[in-house]
Amino acid sequence: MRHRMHLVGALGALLLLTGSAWGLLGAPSERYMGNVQRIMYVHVPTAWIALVAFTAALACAVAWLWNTRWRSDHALEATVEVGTVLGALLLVQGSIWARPTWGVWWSWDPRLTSSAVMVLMFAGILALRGFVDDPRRRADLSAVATVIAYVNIPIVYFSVRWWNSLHQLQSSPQTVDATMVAPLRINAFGMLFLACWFAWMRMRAAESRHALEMEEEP
Amino acid sequence: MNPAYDGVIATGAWPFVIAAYTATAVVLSLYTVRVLRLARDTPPARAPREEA
Repeated sequence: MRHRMHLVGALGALLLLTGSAWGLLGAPSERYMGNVQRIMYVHVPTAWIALVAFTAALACAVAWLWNTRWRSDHALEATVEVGTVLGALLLVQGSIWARPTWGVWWSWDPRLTSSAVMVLMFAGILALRGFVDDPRRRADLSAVATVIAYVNIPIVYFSVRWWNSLHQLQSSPQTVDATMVAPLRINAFGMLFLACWFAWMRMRAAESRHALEMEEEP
Repeated sequence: MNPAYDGVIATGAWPFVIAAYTATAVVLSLYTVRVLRLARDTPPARAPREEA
């Protein structure tokens, strides 16, 4: 299992390198935005996989509240952390893309604001886990907080449709030119595989720390 | 399309593209180092896992 997961991580890195090289050098420049649109090949997969990680965290939170198996709590810790890292990266990439296209690094646009709130809420859950010593209480609180934080995820996703947003509508293989689909898909799978490896590694670390906590308990 | 807007994007695009890809590489590399360090510094958990 361990070797298989390391292979998944390595494959993810390889796919990301391939997709990024394709996006930078092989794909055509976009008609209106020119070369700056090449940021899409990393920005969009980062967004997708961050949302996937937070959705996995919601599933873990519900599973913990349902059956209180420690494995669910460890997976929750892993997926929230991976989602938060990708979410923070998403904001950085978006800000870099915003400067040449909108003329500003940041705008209090519905998509940007809801994304920033998303990252802050899940970062808050990680901070909460750091403050609570009792494992059972920590798991309960973070599961409930994850369910609450997840309410914002549909708002992030649909904000570009619900409000008059500066941000463009969601990009997908159906909304971009056929010549741009391959690098976008390759990077999406690369980011997914890498995120799975990150989450698996973090889950194992959480399991080990939990075992130590249980040994230390009187 | 506003020609001035087009010009800004056309002339200054690559530094932003490179910055975005560099930021991606840096963040993913740093997080890889973090998870590898955690794996190295945390002793392996003993099976079987204790249920709540």
